[in-house]
Amino acid sequence: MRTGPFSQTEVINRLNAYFVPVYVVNEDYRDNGPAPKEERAEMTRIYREALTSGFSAGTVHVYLLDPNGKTIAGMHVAEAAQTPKLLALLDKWIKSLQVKPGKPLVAPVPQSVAPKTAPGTLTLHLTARPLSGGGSWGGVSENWIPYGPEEIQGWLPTGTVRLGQTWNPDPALVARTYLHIYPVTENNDVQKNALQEQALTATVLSVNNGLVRARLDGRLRMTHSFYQKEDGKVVEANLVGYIEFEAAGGHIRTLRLATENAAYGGGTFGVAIRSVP
Amino acid sequence: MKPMHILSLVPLCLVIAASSVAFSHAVERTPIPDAQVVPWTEKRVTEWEPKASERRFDEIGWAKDIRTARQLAQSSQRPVFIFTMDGRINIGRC
Repeated sequence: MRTGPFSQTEVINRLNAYFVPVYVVNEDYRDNGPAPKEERAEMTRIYREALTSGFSAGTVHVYLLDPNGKTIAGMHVAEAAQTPKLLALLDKWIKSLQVKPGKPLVAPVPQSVAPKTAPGTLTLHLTARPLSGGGSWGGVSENWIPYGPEEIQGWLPTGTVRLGQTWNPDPALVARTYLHIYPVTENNDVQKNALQEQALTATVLSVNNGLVRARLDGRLRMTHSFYQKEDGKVVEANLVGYIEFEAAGGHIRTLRLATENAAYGGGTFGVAIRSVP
Repeated sequence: MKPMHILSLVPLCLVIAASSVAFSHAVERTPIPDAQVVPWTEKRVTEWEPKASERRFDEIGWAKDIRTARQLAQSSQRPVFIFTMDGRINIGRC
């Protein structure tokens, strides 16, 4: 939906001019999710109201409420993902409710942003995109992976740094990023991903004015099911990149990694990782 | 929706062959020369990061939660549009 209907000008304009749009992450509303009980109660009310009214209802759905909060429509994502069907639903209710167009009631802001972290945190931004051969959804996905100040040293060598020196960043830290190296699929529970093989080696290329630059060479093999049900599919990837850090103090200025011929499900995909800012 | 599986389009033997090629590409490797590591990496990172056209989702004025949306709806007499999903649509992981 993000790179489908929600990227279409007609849909964006309709939602901004005639509706109050909101998206709900189901995981936040279940079990130990952070959604307050009042929010959960409201979502439950809408779902039940759709059911009792004979509308389409489910967990991955579009719902419309009238200005007073009454549920007036439901549409399964398989239909809503088809822009003409979604537009038809929106237009039907714009007309029926005689909604007057206006400016967005909430200012649009970036929805994928780095998490708020403590000073000294290293945050990595990861982008995954399909390249060729299929095996995944289209579109682009992102992850933000923070490493607290106390974890930074685990990325770096110990002792005096010298040209040509090699070391292996802490595998536990590396694994936290590697678990996100997969293309766009339905299964986004990284706890289900299993690293069968992982490696990352750093080699010092230069030391200039206290700034160390080292190349990074990595590899991973990881099981990752396309859907929630186990399917035996495997991610295979080599990675190349570099890290720059201050020899004194160990501040990481830059970390970059990119996959080389990453494969999954019979297709290839690319992953780019960069430290932010 | 169905993923772009090639399984339904070609005979199984071709799928196995194609998978083998993809697998071998990930395994076989000619190391990138030291002098090329930084430009090679920067080029890929730049090319693969999300483009503005892939973040048009951000052009929509999303309310922060249902209750906020309902309050705004009542005061503006607009309907509420709710999209519910498993995963995180804001990062494309859903």
